Amino acid sequence: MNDGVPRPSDTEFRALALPLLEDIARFARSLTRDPTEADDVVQETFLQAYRGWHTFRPGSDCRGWLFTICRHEFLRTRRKRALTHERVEGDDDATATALEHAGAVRDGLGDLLDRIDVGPAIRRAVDALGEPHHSILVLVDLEQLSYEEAGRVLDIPPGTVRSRLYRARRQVQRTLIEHARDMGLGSPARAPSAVPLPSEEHA
Amino acid sequence: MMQPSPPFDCAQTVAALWDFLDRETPPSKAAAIEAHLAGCADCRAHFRFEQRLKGELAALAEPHPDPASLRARVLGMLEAAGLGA
Repeated sequence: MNDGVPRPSDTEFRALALPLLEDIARFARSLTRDPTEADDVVQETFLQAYRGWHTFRPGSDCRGWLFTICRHEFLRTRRKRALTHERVEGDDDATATALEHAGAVRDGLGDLLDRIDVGPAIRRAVDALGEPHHSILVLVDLEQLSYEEAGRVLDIPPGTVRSRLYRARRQVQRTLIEHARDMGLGSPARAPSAVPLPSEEHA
Repeated sequence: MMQPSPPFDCAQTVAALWDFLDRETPPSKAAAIEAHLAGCADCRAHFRFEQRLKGELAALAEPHPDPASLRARVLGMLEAAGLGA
């Protein structure tokens, strides 16, 4: 019962959780790609956080705790709309993005990031990622979390964050290369010959 | 005392580039990667591409355009739910 006297936990919630609202709002916008849905997710995140404030461990990472709640809320709303499917995939090869880059270089697309309108193209490529790869890429590349911090948010080991992050970036890179090829960019005649395929060079 | 890593070849360097860019590489390994990149134009090309891609991804993070109104909305809801001053 609320007797009108502020509980210490309310003061702490105001001091620790509420200042992170803009971080959570940015994260929610990256996750949802929809400003209206993002604001709803933020509101529900803070309501759930307040109701569960007694479970927050003092001294632990409040931002990561709120990110976890925010992502759960995002997934819950998406499941309602049946738009999201979590996929479990195996580890990816760390050299894969470099191999694809080498292929792009051979096709004359080594400088593709300078030759396409890169911002919108990357946005589309990121938006096309499925879960959990989209969330992992947002946490590490947009929110600058370490593998360990992102793993705590997603409740997966850092090694799994790493392998899924590589896969997400590889998919983004592949989408950008396909986009450049669709635009008619690239020509084998323009390709520098120097960039090696590491797995071939050292086989 | 930190043990220096043995020299890295192209395959080792390329395999470690994302960890390096994510600042997830131990200092001794980072030094080996930096040394290899300094002398290998091919691996530098991969590094620059991945560095640029990572920078473009970071630039996608969008701040909320009106955080004050969002804060008011969230605070109103929380106070209705019982949040004290």
